[in-house]
Amino acid sequence: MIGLESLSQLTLGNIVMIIIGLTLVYLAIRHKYEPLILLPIGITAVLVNIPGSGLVDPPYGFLYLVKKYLIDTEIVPLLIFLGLGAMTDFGPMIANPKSLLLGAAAQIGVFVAMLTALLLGFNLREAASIGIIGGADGPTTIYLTVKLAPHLLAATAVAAYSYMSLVPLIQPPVIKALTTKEERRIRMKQLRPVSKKEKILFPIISMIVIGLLVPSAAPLIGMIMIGNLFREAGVVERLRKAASEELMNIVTIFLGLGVGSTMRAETFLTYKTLLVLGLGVVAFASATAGGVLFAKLMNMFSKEKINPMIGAAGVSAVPMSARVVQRLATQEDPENHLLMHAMGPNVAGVIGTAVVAGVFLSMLGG
Amino acid sequence: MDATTILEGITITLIGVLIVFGILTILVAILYGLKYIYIRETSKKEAKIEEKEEIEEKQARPKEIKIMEEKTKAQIHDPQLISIITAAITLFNEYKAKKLSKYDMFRDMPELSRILGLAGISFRAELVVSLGGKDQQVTVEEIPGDGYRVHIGNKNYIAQISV
Repeated sequence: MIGLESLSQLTLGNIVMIIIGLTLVYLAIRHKYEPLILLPIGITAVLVNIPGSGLVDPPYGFLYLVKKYLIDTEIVPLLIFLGLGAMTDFGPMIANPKSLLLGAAAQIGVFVAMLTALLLGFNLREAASIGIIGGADGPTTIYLTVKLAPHLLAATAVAAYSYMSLVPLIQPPVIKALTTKEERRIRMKQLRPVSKKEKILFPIISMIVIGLLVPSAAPLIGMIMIGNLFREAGVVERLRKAASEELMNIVTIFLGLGVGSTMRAETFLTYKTLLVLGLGVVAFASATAGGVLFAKLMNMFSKEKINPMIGAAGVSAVPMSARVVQRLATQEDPENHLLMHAMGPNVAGVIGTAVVAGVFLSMLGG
Repeated sequence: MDATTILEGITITLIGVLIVFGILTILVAILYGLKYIYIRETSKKEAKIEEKEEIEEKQARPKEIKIMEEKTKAQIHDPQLISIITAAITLFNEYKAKKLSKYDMFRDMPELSRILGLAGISFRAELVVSLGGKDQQVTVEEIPGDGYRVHIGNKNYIAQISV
């Protein structure tokens, strides 16, 4: 009787969402598309679309509590940033400071997507949340969307993580269209070694500088830099390990559950979701183009040429986009190894996206 | 679509791009500052290493031996004779080190052996040097000021060592 009641409440929307959820699970397992996040999101999407489970019902539904206390309060995205910091090596960026500018240039994609979203009828807060997908940074996208357009959380999070896993498909055509064969063959000289002192000073200084100039970016930047200091200090190995492994795994589970819980048919199956998914591609492609074109611009004024492909790694998506650059480089010249050079803009992109999120929050109100 | 919203979006874009580039440019400047510190530190370290290497090289530099006949003061150029004399001095030093190592004081602090020279105590040894299957009777004795008197056959040679 109870089973029949549940079945009678099942809508077409629920069935579509269950199929979408299962597709995400399939992509995560079969094709390894960001499995750590898309698998929990997908399976939770299936779960919340089974009528009558009460999991997302206030005040005591389990997934309702997870979302309310861990996602809406921004605890999870910030803790993920702490873990990311503990896993990130800023060395390649410190060795080649110019790569920070490539990380900044790739943020142009965020603004292009935001303006496109505005043209399509989204309001400013929604457009900013959609634009930030171009930063290819899941936690930042979630952090900003929760504050500016919480009703778009599921769409922006799914778009950000899905397209991050599709970076190997989205980026190469854009890079190839904007560069010549000769440019793709440019070799770069080996990066200098970076001292421990530099690696320790960088997170401290950048946290203070960015915190003072864009206070609204301080939570994100602060967390990533604290995590990074755990890593580089070399005296809190247990904390580094906890932040980058145990804690990171726990908060990733909660992030997946929290975001997945928002994928209910009545909120997800709207034309806006389709637009967000479409704009996600625009954001990723324009961010890639921004980085590549800026690298070409830098080459016009610099004696020491850089391979413009590394600009594409400015879209964060660490380390996926750096790997894409490496793969394209070796396709043109098997001896040309650009991975470490691409890691510079890659990690700079994370900082750039956090700064942009801070700018949006301070201008649009969080 | 509202023109005011679009205009506001363009303004946010311009300000946003400006702020992102501004902040990251400041970080670039800071990183170049850190790089300068690193290079300065590295060059200081390198200078120290170079200095150490130079001292070690100086210490390890082969000593120059000037050999001459005691009576005529004529410098010796005969390679065979030079070989015998240098081999004899090497053997003599080995013999002296062995003798000194019997005493704890000199074994623990070999530099103390200098006081023997200052006290007028010098070593003398009769050795056999073999060259090309031919044995040669040689007598070596120390003379003050890093020198050796080497007696071969009926001639005396003076070997002076300079660094």
